[in-house]
Amino acid sequence: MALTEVFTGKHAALTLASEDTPEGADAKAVVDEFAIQTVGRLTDVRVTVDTALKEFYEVGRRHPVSLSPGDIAVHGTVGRAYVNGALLMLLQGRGSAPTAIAEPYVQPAFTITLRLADPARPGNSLTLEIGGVKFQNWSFTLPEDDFVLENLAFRALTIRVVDREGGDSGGEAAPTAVAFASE
Amino acid sequence: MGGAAMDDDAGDLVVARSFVVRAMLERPDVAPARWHGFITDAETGERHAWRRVADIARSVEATLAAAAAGPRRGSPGGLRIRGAAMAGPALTDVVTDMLTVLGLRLPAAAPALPDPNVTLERVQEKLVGLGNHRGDEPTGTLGTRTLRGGRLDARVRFQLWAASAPDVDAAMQLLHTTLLDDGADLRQEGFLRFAAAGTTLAEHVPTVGAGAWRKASSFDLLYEYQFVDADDAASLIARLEVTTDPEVVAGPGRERGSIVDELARWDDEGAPDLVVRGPAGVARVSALTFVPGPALGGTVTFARSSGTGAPAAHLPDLDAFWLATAGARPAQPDADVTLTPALAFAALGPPAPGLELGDWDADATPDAYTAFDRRLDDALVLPTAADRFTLTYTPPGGGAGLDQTAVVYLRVNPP
Repeated sequence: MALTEVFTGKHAALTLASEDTPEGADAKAVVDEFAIQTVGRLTDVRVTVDTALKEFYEVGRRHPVSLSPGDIAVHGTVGRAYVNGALLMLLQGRGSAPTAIAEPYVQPAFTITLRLADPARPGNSLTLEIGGVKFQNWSFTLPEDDFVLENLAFRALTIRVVDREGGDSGGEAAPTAVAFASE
Repeated sequence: MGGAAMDDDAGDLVVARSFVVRAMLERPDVAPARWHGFITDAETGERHAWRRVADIARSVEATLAAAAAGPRRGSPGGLRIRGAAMAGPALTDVVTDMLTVLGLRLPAAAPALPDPNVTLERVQEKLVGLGNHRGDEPTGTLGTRTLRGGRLDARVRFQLWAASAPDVDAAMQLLHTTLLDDGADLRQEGFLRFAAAGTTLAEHVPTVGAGAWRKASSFDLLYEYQFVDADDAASLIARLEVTTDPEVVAGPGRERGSIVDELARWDDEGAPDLVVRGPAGVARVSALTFVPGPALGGTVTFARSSGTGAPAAHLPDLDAFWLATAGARPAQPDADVTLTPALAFAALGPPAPGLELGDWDADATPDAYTAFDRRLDDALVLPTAADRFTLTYTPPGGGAGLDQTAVVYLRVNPP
């Protein structure tokens, strides 16, 4: 069945995974300690990919004659009901430890996996793998009579599409591969 | 209680069905204390709240009548929904639970007047977060469990009755103040927001008895229910028996085999060895034990062998065994230690509450397991296929399994 279904936040899950680097090791320590492999109580997730595409204009023409790809920026934001300091610690790493840590220390880096799946179609899933993620900033609001929320912005190195289209019998199919022409 | 049985075999003369009744007395300091509770169909797990004892009989009667009419949607034999949709409780139960909690705040019914009640005016399902995830929870010996929940954005209406207008006004005021006083308790029971939305004037209803006065008050609330999603949970499957029919189904060429993992289950019917073959490593050993009676008899042997046939060094305790056998080049590649089961489990670490699972001793209560977990500072390395790490139970009288009704799960490198 073709991947044409629509989803809501009810079908989503955001999971964190560590990377095999010193920065990844610190992120893993935080993720394991706070048990946030699957981040709970997320209220809003936004992911943006900017390519800084630039137009080139020739003299005497109003339309651009070419579009030049520019720098790629992967960034986004997440919001969560504040239930613990896990995400702040993922931003600062050892800098948010209960006891002061001498600098320098690494900033944790990790992978975010955003998965959309409908239980009615267990063979199909849409996944975005965002690699080399670091939180950029953290903010926190403390209203007098409402839920306490935290908001974070992140930047990432890569983003990959891992869509899987399986049958109704379940199981995990291979990721959808695009047959690009050889250069 | 429990132990439901509804045998599908046509030859059975008796069809049995069990129900579990739980009675609770909350807030005994607040008069009048009233019993209430739940009745659970042991076969389907369906749960209904009861506020009066007569509700129990009605619930059983309705369930048996439905069973006699045949399987229905959602019951065994009916439509089965796969995936995460199976994880959450039925919203019917959630709403029932929510109204039951609120119903406990209702005043007692006056003689010859209708019972006060609380009903839904409107309800809308809300998410706890993306995917209704609350987070993860480490279980120690069984990896992590996914915590989920859900929310109901609802408006409920309390309806009270009294013999006069001042009485019904006073009863409504008492209800409001009771709900305000119970704010912390209600929040603990899942009511994240709770606010009065409006109250009607006292209304005379002449058709009820000798005339009665009714008053209703509405409240807006946000109710959160929580549950553990077992869909992704680690399992305790110790052995899978498989058959392979190479040519003809059930033909003479059928092959039988067993698929085992680094997990063994010991009980009074059998205690197979837990064998880890190289190339592999042992970095963690966990045990889940259910021993309802006295301490287990017999012995437990931890052994590492290199497959060369060299005699094993008998070590005095488990720490000495780990120390002698750890690493890629152990000091003692052939060694063992034999301990009583109690000492062996204690050497794995302090006991911790495990999980409730099954009813092996058939005492009608779920079996509470105790967990032991040992992470090795220096992993035991089995570099070749000849190397073995073995956990063996030897019963005292030469029987097949544990010397009493008990269960032990042993696992190497749990998730």
